[in-house]
Amino acid sequence: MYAKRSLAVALVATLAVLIGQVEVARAEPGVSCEVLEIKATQAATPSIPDSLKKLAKKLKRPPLSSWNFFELLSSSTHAMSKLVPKAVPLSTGAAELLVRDIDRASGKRPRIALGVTMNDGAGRRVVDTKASIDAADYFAVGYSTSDNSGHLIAVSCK
Amino acid sequence: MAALDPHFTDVELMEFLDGELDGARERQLETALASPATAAPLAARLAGLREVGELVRGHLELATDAHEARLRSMWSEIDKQLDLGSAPATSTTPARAPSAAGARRGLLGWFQRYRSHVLTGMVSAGAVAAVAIALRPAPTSERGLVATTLPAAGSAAPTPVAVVPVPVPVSLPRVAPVIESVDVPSGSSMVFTIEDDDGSTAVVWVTPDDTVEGL
Repeated sequence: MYAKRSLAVALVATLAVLIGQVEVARAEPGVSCEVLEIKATQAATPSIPDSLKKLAKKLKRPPLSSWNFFELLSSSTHAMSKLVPKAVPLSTGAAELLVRDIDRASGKRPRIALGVTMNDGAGRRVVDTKASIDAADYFAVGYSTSDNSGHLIAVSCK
Repeated sequence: MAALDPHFTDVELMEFLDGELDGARERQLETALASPATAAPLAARLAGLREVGELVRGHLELATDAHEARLRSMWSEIDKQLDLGSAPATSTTPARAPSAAGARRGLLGWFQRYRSHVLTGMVSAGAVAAVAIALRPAPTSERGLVATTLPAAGSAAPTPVAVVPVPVPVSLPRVAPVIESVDVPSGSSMVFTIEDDDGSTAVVWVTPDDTVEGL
C-alpha cells in the first residue's frame, strides 16, 4: 500500500516537471524584439540622448550622419512568435514586425529572418522589406520627410 | 442451627438436594431414607429445605425482574454515550461550517499522515528537474535577457511582455545582414550597411516621391 501510494505521488510529480519542461520547450522558438522610433533632424547643437547611446556610433556614420540631432520618440519591446505579425504603434505612423524564421544552427549566432513594414503619419505604406540579421544586431528602416528630417525605426531581436 | 437429625445436618441435606453430597454420606442418607424408622422425618426435612430453596430462588428472580427495567435504561444510556463518542456528533443545534482552524488542522493532519508519500514525490520531482537541467543545452550567451519594457507610443503604462530567452553566443563570428527584398510603393530606396565594432547594421532608407531629398 505504501509503495503504491509513493509510486503514484512520484509519477504525478514527475509528470508535472516534464509538463513544465515541455512548456519551456514550446516557448523557445520565440524571440524578443526591441523597436526604437527615432526622429533625425539637423540642429545647431548636435545631440544624441542617453537612451540612444547604444546606437550612437551608428548614428554618427554615413548616411545617418547627415543629421546631428536625434530624438527617441518611442521605445517598445515585443515578444514575437514565429510567423505571427505584431503591430507596432509609433508616435508618427505605424509599423509591423514579422519573424519569418529563426535559425539556431550550432556554431553560429542565431539568425533571424525579419519582415518590417512602415507606414507614414497619413497611413500610407512607405516600405515593406525583408532581411536576415544576427540576433541582437540592429536593422534600421526609415524615410525622409518633407521638412528635411528623417523618421526611422531600429529593430533588434534576440 | 441445631440438627434435628443427629446424623445429618441441614447443610448436608441441602448438598444432597443439590447433588453435591459426597458419595459415602449420600449412600448413608439414602439408606436412612429407605429405613421406615428414619425416612419420615428426613423426608419432611428435605421437603422443607426444598420449599425454602424454591422460595429463595423465586425471591431472587422477582428481585432480578424488578431491577431489570432499571438496568435496561442504564445500558441504553451507556450505549448512547458510546455512540456519541465514536460517531459524528448529531447535535440538535444547527450545523456550522468548518472553521479555518479546523481546515488547517485537517490539512496538517493529511500532511502528517502522508508525509512519507509527499517527501517521496518531492524527491522524485527534484531528481527529474536535476536531470532536465543537466541535459539542457549549455548557455552560450553573455548577453542578458530583455527584462524591461518601455511604454509604447501612445500608451501610458508599460505593456507586459513575456521574456523569451534566446542564447546569443558572442564568441561566434558575426554574419553580415542580408536584405532580401525592399518594396517601396511610392518613392525610391537605398540600402546601406554601417560597420562598427559592434558589428554590421543594415539600413533601408526610403525617399518618398512627395518629399524633398533628405540624404
